[in-house]
Amino acid sequence: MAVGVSARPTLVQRALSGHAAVGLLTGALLYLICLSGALAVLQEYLQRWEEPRAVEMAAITPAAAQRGLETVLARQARPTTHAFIHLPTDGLPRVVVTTDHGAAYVDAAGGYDSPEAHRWTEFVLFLHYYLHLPQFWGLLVTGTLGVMLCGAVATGIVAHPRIFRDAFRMRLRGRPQLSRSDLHNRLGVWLLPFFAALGFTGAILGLGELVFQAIATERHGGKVEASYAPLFGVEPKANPARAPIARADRALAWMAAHHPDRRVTYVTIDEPGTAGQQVQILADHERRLIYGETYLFDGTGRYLGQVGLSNGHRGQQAVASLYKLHFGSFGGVPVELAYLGFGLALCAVISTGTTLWLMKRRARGRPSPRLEALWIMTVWGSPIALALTYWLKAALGVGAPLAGAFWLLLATGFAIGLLRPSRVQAAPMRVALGLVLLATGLSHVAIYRSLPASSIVIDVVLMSTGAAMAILSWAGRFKQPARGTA
Amino acid sequence: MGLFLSLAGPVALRFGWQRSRAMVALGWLALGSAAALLVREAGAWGLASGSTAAMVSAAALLIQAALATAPPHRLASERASGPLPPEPIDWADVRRRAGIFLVVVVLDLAASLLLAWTAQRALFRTGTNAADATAFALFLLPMLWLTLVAWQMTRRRLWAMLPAPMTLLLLGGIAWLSA
Repeated sequence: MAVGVSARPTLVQRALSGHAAVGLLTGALLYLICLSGALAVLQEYLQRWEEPRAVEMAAITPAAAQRGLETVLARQARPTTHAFIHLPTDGLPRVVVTTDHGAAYVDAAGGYDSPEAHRWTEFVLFLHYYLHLPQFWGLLVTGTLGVMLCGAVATGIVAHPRIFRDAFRMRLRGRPQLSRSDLHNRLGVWLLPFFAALGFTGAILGLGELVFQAIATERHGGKVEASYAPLFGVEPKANPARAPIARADRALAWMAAHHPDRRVTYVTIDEPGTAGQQVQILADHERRLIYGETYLFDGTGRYLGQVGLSNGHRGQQAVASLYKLHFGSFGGVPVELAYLGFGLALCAVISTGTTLWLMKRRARGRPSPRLEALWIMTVWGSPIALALTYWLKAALGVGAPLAGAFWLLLATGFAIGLLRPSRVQAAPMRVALGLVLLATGLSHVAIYRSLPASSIVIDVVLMSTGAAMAILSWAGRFKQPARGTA
Repeated sequence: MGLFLSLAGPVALRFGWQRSRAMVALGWLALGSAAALLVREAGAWGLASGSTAAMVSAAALLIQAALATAPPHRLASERASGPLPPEPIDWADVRRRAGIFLVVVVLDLAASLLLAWTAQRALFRTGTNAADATAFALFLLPMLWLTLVAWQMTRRRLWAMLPAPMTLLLLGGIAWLSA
């Protein structure tokens, strides 16, 4: 054996091997989570885009909010365990009243407007939260993927000792393997705080249910709600005797009088219409990471106190700070746009990671055409499937089976990849995605002529990105150097 | 000021990169100062905002680098070996990989959950309020698991991955018995 050459793999080699193993084990699901997560950053804007005809307003009076609540409850005429009023925000300047039996938009006077029907936005969110699995199992899987993302970040650092030496080398127009390697490593280094924060907060949010279940079993006879109480507040003691609907208007007026600087975003009424009902007002705190503070009122609108998310125990404040950090809602539009870009960058890092592994296999004489086809289908097929499900919703309405259609489309693509791998090429898939995005933006503008500014921006981005992707991929397909480059 | 330093830090690093150590040091100093200033002014919100600004600045520099790097005059073709004959399925390797999956996903989760739960139980029983004890467990569970995963992924053999989760199980068991 040559001097200085050891048969035992070094730490760097072992870390690289482990990094690849984590990426391969979780790549496809992690990609779907991150792609839908990047879209989830824009959830309020997507809801407006999906349903552009709902009535909008910058603010609503407490009396009108109360009227809206009572109107929706009267229309439904069925008891509900909770009722929620979403108040106008910058991202979603609409009032939505939600109960166990559905949700409806109300106008500025509190009158009924239309049912809330943003099924496609919800479909994207549920893909991100649960991968469309039952809630507990879905959260467990997404939480596990959060841990694996952090594990990949940690092993990635160990596996790349030249990580800072090459810090600004970005040769995207070089050889395919080199360009993907640069993209993977440079984005991986500079966006590392984002990837780590995203993975860790996602892991806590996903795996938290296990902790709450364990504590509920230990101390509360299996009642999970009781284990949430120390952090998020206690559910009111049930008293099913009938009572007039809780006075959310008085609670809102109290907030306006006592905390005029706090923007109220949400009202929750527990057990509405019963003697045990309680009003919770969620108010945003400027320049804080917490998702808000919950102010409590009884059914008559009398102030009872606050839960303590803003000034209570450190544990409460820490847990309340996870959501804004995860979804990028702590700094207005600039941070949301940054999170969208970072989220798409994470998709690129995941995509190039597996692509590099496949390219290296091919270079060693061990190509995996089926795996290559499956990966191309994951990277380019899943956004096409997401866009096509929007068309399905637009065509069939709220009853469209979006989750079923999405997974069926993806499964069909995978079947083609397995049976006819030579038919699956990245360049045509990119052209197809570009055309689908272009058609989505064009048709949306054509159907809904009068749109809010944010929806116009989304359509313009869809059209321009789609056109650019289709043209560049069409032009580039003639010089595609090798297979397996997703 | 904090946000400005967050934006300026990566720019200084870029100008100093492979040229001036002093500029690189200045870049890191700017980022460190930005973090300290923002934490003092606005706590966790400030740190999150500053980190986001720094990453935006770095991403812009990467885009600039990608645009400024000229393509090579001639793209060297990537060397690829001719296809080798297919390898027979190595069932021992398949079993090893299945074993690694069970250890890294199932055993690690069980061990991390046991220690996180028993640690919060011990804290709660020794007077820590329920909110802090619960939050501690919420943060500890993924922290333990990702530490195990990161460490195990640098081990080659399956048996070498086992001591870490077994240690957590042991610690969790001791905490459960003693509190």
